[in-house]
Amino acid sequence: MTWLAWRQLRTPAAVAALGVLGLLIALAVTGPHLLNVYDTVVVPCAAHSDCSAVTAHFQGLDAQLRHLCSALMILAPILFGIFLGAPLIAREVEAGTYRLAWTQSVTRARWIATRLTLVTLVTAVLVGLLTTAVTWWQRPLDLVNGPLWNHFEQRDVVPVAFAVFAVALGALLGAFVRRTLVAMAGAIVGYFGVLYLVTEYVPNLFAPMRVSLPFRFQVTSTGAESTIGPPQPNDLVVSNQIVTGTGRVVGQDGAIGPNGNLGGFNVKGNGTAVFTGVGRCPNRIPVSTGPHGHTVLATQTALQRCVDSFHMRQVVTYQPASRYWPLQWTEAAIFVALAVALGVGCVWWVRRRLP
Amino acid sequence: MSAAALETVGLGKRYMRRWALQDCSLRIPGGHVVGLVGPNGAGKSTLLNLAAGLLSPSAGSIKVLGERPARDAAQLARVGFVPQDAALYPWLSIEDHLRLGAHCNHGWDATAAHARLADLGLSPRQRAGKLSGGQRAQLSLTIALAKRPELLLLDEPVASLDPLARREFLGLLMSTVAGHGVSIVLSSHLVSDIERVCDFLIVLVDSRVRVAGEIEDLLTVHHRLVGTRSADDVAPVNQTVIAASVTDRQRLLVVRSDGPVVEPGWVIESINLEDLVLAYMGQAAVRHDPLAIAPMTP
Repeated sequence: MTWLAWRQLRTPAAVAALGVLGLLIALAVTGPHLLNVYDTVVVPCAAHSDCSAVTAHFQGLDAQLRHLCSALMILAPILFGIFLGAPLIAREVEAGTYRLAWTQSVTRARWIATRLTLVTLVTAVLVGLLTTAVTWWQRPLDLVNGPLWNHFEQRDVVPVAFAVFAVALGALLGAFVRRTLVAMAGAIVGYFGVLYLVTEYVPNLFAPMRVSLPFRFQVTSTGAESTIGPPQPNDLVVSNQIVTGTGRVVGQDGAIGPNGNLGGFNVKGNGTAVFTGVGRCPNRIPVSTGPHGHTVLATQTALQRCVDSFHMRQVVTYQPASRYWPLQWTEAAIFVALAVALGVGCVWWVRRRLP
Repeated sequence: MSAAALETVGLGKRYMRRWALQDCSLRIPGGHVVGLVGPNGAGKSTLLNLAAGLLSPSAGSIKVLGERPARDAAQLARVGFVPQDAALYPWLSIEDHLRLGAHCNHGWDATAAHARLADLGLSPRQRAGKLSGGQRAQLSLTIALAKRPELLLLDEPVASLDPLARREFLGLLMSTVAGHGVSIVLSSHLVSDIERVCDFLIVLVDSRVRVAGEIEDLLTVHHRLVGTRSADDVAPVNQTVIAASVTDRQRLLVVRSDGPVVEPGWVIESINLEDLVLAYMGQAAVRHDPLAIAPMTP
């Protein structure tokens, strides 16, 4: 049975392997240069004061390849689901070839179990290669671009679990609807739907850490920004709220003012601060006279003093960077478990409900 | 006594609300070549797919060679199935199909399979998708036979073939299985196919079995009665009227009787297989066609 399963998988697997191989070559060729630039230019620069120009230049290197990698890491799992998962059972029913396959001396349960196992293995290996290479290649850029969490779903082991899940989902939908195209469409919708639900939920599995500090902000020309973020740059912010002394939430995500996220309060560069239901600071705040350039600082200080009288605090909950790997494995385990459940569903459905 | 090739009790299969096969009770002893005949859509395919384990019954039970169809690998190995339209993988070559068979069947007879294809003059490299209907049917039969099955099920194997290819296919089928003690169940909507090769008949009409038995026995117990238009109806003593028809000058009856038929006023003739089958098919039409029982209007 393994022979037939492999013979049926050979061609699409070869096409996918060629695609992965092509990308691996491109990454292997360009990767060392990126690492070199990072080590010799970007890191030494960070020791000095302003290296935004250096960083910007570095971020622009191999831009097309980087966009391709981003797109691939988002799409690769569902591509495997569409092209290897969805036709697995649906195509046999559509073409009537199940009548040949299921009347050999192999039970249906073994037929589907063998095919699912093989397709899952091939998918895991290819997506594993892909994610390993992309993670390695993107590492210097990721370090420049901010918290590693930004790409949590597109790096390391999680994409492999996504792909395995997508394949099982495609296969089961194919068994249900018995039409390859419908199964493909269903797999796309189902995959991204489940992905959204689960990835929103997973960070809550580990109770987030919490810091609570008096509300501090920095006035800029367009408004004001909270000066409080997560304790470390690589922490994942789960929630960031501004609360009053009585615990009422008056703002979220640290950004405040016209460009901030939520209403309920407002801080403006001209020295106005209105926190609806909390308090209001005057339009005109006495400004210390002196050489130009001190004006904003004076406004800032006076405004901060006024706002302080409202006793607001900023509460940040976050996942520390040290939880990156536990969360990677947890999320991967959830999707592998889902895939196993769908696979068992496939076996059951093929045995009991088809054709 | 060895188990029957095929035994069903009250077997039925329903698709949504429509019954494709109903109340089917049969016992086919081993060693027969069984013809399953009936109009299109009568349930022949359904019965064969149930026997191959591709469908599961909605009612009743079915046993093939004494076991539930497709119960395990060993049961599957004992049954060869040639599906309608010869289901093959179009992008696999003939050779690959034989490899498929070899890898999926323990008792695979590779020598016989290759010899058979060589006899047919088929190139092993050719893709199944490029074969003619007759060649596909032959390849499908070759795969089923190389399993060395005890029971061979063929679902309309010759339906898509021209008359010559039909004759060839059936001839090759019979010469291949002759003397191997293989039981065969073969469906067709043409009596001539059945007449050539079968010794056991099942007539299936409108999802129900009308008659089943060894052809020789069936021909012995059925008679054609020819009478004048004014002849009285036959006495319903130890006989059943299967079909009745009236022409300009005479009346024709087909009756089943286990004893000798003695009917004054009627000429008693023996019956051929085609008339027998048509009588049973016509019976169904009379029973189910509202036009036939509605009063004639000018």
